[in-house]
Amino acid sequence: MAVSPACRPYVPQLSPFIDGELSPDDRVMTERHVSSCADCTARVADLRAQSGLLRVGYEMLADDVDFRAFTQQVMAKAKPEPLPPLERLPVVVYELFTHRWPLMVGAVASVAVAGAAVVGIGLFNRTDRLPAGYGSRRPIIQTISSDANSHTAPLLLTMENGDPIVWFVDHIHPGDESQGGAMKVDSEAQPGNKGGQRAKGGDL
Amino acid sequence: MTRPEGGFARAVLLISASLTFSLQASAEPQVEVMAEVVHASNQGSSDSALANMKAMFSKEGFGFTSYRRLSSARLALQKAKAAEVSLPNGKAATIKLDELKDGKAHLKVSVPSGETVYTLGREGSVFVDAGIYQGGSLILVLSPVAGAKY
Repeated sequence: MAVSPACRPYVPQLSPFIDGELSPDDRVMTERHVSSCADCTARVADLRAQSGLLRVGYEMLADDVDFRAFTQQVMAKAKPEPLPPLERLPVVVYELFTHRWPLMVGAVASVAVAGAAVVGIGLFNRTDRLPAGYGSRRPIIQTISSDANSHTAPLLLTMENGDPIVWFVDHIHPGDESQGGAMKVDSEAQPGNKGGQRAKGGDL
Repeated sequence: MTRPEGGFARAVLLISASLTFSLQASAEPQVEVMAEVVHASNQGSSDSALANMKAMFSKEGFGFTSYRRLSSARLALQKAKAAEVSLPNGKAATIKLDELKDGKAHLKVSVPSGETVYTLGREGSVFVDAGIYQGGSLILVLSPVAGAKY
């Protein structure tokens, strides 16, 4: 079909006209021309018929495809984009304190109790704190006594380093065998202080 | 499975209560000491760890050639309760916290032949004759616990 000079500006507008893509002014102008031009009216009818055929054709093609799992397949491939850490942190904190506040309160309380225990144990085990009872630098023998029935006498020796030895030696008084001996020392054992008798060597 | 929300709080309360009880229990005066039983004799070889003890005893006139550690225990002593150290000769030695005054502990050591009271010290050991055994002598060695040595 030959295009007349009057139709020439409107022919490119016909397809957008059918698809509703023209501006309101262009649409009015095109409608006026189509209503007064038999050729363009026929062209519009052809275009509409062509568009309908295309739609039917595509629908027939679509009918052959199984779309039942389409949504699940698409959603399975869709992964949420992780938020940057700085943006994610407030969200996580908000959710924890909003929806899981009993858990958070318990956790905070546990951390506080554990921290207090650690601090307490640390203070208790400070190296500059003496263990109970160790106020004296060296051991000091206060008293020694032997059992009356053991027939021994107590003996205190002091070694070179000041460590005391408490020994019990055979001690039988003639005619008074039942008496045990006793020593009251009450002095700090010092190196070189050989308080008491010395062992005479050999096994006692 | 759902859990009651109060469960966690109850657990925290239980932990706190147990800590409180343990602190109260530790308020009872308690002194720790190391107790070792050494067999000194003229039979066999010596423990290398006791070489110094052997030398020191030798200087004091003891002629034992063998020193062997038979047992070692860390004792926690309290006034109301005496700790017992079993001896291989079937007898026992008892150690008791006699007094704890001004940070100084007085321990009463009872062995089959007698007893001695001494003030605990941070340095050195006390050697107590604990009786005869297999031709030698048993020696009770009382030393400060590791944390008390300076």
